[in-house]
Order: sequence, then structure tokens, then C-alpha cells
Amino acid sequence: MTLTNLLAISTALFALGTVMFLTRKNSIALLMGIELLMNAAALNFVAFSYYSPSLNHPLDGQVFALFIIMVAVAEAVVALGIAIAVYKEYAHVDADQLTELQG
Amino acid sequence: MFNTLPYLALMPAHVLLGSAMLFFVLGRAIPGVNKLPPMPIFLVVLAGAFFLETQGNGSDPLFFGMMVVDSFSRLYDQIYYLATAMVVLMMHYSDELDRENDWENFALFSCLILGLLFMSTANHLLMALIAIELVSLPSYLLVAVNRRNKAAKEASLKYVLFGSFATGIMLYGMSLLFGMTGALGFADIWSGLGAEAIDQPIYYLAIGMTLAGMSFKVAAVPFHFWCPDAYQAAPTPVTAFLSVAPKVAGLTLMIRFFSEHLAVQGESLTQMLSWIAMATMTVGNFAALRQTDLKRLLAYSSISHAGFLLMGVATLNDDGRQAVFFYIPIYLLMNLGAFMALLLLSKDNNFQMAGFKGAIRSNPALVVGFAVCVFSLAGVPPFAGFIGKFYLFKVTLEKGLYLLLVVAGVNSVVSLYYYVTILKNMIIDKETQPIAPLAAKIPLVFVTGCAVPLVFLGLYWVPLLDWAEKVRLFQ
Repeated sequence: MTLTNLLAISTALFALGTVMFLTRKNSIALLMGIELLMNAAALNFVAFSYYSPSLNHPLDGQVFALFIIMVAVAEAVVALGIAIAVYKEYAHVDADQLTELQG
Repeated sequence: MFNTLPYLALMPAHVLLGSAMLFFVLGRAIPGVNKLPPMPIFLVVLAGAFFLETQGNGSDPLFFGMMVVDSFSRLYDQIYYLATAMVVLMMHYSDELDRENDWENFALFSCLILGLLFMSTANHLLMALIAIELVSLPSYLLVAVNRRNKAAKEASLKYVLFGSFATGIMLYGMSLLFGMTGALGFADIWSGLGAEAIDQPIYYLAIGMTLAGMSFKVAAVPFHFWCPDAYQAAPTPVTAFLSVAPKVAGLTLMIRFFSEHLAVQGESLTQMLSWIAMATMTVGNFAALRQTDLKRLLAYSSISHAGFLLMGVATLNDDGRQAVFFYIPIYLLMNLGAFMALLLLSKDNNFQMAGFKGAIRSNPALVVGFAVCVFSLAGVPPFAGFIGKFYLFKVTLEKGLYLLLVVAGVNSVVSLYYYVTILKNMIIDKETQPIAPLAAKIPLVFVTGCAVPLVFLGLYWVPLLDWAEKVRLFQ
């Protein structure tokens, strides 16, 4: 496993996440796409930190990856909570059918 | 050797953290505590934090340089406390927020302000990420805090999906910056990028993606889609708060992120930022032209104001920083004044333009106050908004960004049209439905309190300019 391979994987993850966010309709699927984006970034951080650690702070990238995981969880909690509130109101969570606000 | 003394500079943040704990935990855990009046407690907390902020001086790098508390952050933090205190007063006159939920609302506000403080002090990508999230998460919840409003939940869901997407993009950009430089501190990143990176596309890609998260907070194009929906559906005080505080905090993060760039990188960054500024003000203004809902219209107007403020950021020099800060207290007063007047004039939380026709006949004083705020937003002399815009134009001219200057000039003229349309509706048109005169006199004091300084500062703005001196350098 070289750095190039890992970067290729993370780029693929990023592309998949973006495509998922732009094409899917269900809010939960959008959240899964976002999760892929964040994991692509976390993978990048870990890979860079492992293959070219900086001299002064060799663990910077790995700590950053931990924080990304934490942030992703916090965001998922809030987003799913709001999705439940929306589901109770509309009985679906399709983002493109939520059209109360437009203009 | 671990010296604790500089950490006293973080006292205001500790106060806010304490207040968040109080409102979240103690109000539930200790019986009887939630019988206390939350609003005075929160106002006292804000006043205390404001006082502590004015006492500090000097520049303190904290947590191994991850945060820097200096004159720049102190001045911006004072604006946040001021804005929050005004919004808390506004909440008192709004029926969109349940009063019995005040403990939770103020807890969310405390966390949000804590995030704002971190945003103005962050000097490291990790701190920037945490600050942005700490501001975003309570904002998502505050938009949806009115349980009776169906649209608010929808807006909040769109907000959270869009915000998470922007965060994801930003994180990927940060990882690229980390890979290119091996550093996370702002100064180390710029020196690590060096001079030779400027010709490579990855340089623009990494910085552009990192900017995504900050642009999302500022509501700059292309990350502005959440803004109209969230502003229209959120309770009016929350809208007023979101239109000022997080937007300003996003600007502070941008300013600090770009402040340590190398001289050779300056040109490329200025170009990048001025394109964002041009796109933002144009999209905001032209979308505002066809709005009929006044809250939505003010949302688009706040997008265009973000564009004007980005002009000052794009200059990347100390004059630009001063011009940006100079505009912010003025922007705070005129925006909050306008929202408060709308809140008081609206019936059943309906903000359609037609509902405000002929409002001047029943509420002359209120509409005059509103007119001052709106003229100031439009940048008409002699009101303070004109002076603020004048300084932003001046620094742009001195920097030699002529295209940006022309676009901004055209936009100012265009914006006049929709601001005047609102006023025509309220002042010249006949009443279609009767609007009750205001029962209480105290809310009128709020709007007057916003309008009078706007006139005064429009005529004599030297004190504000002197105050803004302090943000020129990070000291």
C-alpha cells in the first residue's frame, strides 16, 4: 500500500459521496453521502500523517482524523433528530419534495 | 513549563461555558433552579463576558498557538455579546419562541457564542473545524426551535444537509492543505505552500475547498442556498441573530486564515476572494428583486451585504480589516432594527409584503425607524450605512480592484430598487387590511435605539473609526 493508492481510494470516496449527495433524493441517503465525504478526508489525513509525518507534530493528522469522526457523529445526531421531526410532519424525508419554502 | 496565566484571556469563554452548563444541566438537575427567570440571568452572563473582554489586553497565543486572543478577537467578541443581548430582548416580544423553553434556547445560544469566540481566535485548522461545528450545530436546532411551524423543520433539514456537505468539502480541502504542507497552523500552511505552489491547480483546489466551510457560514456564493429558506422559516429573533453573528464570525475566520499569507501569494488570493465577493453580491441582489416575503427579501439582502463585506476581506491588508470592522456595528444596528420593526408590524407571523401596506398610518414612529434602517441598508447618505460602504469602496479602490469596484457600484444601485419598494409599500400605498397600533411603548425604544445611532454615526463617525483602529493589527 503506497500513499498514491490511498489517495486514489480517498478521491474515489470523495467522488462517490459528492455524486450521492447530488443525485439521491432521500435525506438519509444524502447523509450517507456526506459521511463518505468526511471519511475520505479522514483517510487522507491518516495517510498523509503516516507516510510523511511532520517533524514537530508527528501525530497531527491522526488526531485530526479522530476529530473528524467525532464531528461526523455529532452532525449525524442533529441531522437525524431533525429528520425525525420532519418525518412526523410530512411522513417522508425526500429532500426534493419538501417544497413549502420556495421563491 | 506550563504557564496558566495567559489562559485567563479565555475567561469570557469560560463564562459562556458555565452559562451553557447552567442552562443545559443545572436547570434540569437541581429542582427549583428552573423557577429562576432565565432572561435576566442570561443578560447578566453576557454583560459579565463583555466586561471581561474589555479588560484584556495584549496578544496571547494559547494551546500551543492553536488559538490567539488579541485585540482583533476581543473587539469582534464584544460585537457578538451586543448582538446576542439585543436578540434576547427581541425574543421577549416574539411569540414564535415558547417562553417555557427559554432554558434550552439560552443553552443553545451559549454554545453558539462559544463557537463564535473560538472562530475569532482560531489560528489552526483543527480549531477552525471545531469552531465552525460549534456554531453550526446550535444554528440548525435554533432554526427548528418553533415546533408549531411546519416550514421551519423543512428549512432546518435543508440547512443541516447543506451545512454538513459544506463541512465535508472543507475537510477534504483541509486534508489537501495538510498533505501539501504537513502543517495545520495558519502561518505554517502559508509558509509551507511557498512561492512555487501558485502555478499548480491543486493550490487553488485546496484553498477553494477549505474556503467552502467559511463561505457557508458567511452565506457566500455558491454556498448560499440554505440562507433564504432558513431565514424565512426561523423565528424572527433567530433570523436576526443568524444574519449578523455567524456571518461576521465566518469573516473573522477568513481574515485570520489569510492574514499570514506570503507576499507572492497575495495576488492569487485577492483574485479568488474578489470573484467570490462579486458573485455573492450580484446573486444576492438580483434574487432579492423578485421577493414578496420580507424576511426572505432581507435574507437575500444579507447575502449581498456579505458580498460587500468580502470586498474588505479581499484586499487582505490592514485598511481592509478596519473597513470591515467599521461596517459591522452599523450592519448590526440596521439589520436588527429592521427585523424588530417587521416583527412588531407583522400579523400572525405573516411577512408577505402586501400585509404591510400603509403601515405608516397606524404606526408612524415605528415605520420611520424602519425607514432609517432600510435607507441605511441601501447605503443612502446621510445614514451610517453609506459611510460604511464608502470605506469598503475606498479600500477596494486603493488596492486597485477596479472590476470589483464597478460591480459593487452597480449592485448598490440595484439594491436601492427593492429597498425603496418596501418603503413605498409601507408609506405611500393605501391600507388593505387594518394594522393595529402598537400597544406597548418599550419595543419602540428598541427600534429608535437602532435608528438614532444610525443617523448620528452617519454624520459623525470618527469615534467608531477610532474604535476600529484596534483590528488593524493582531496585537
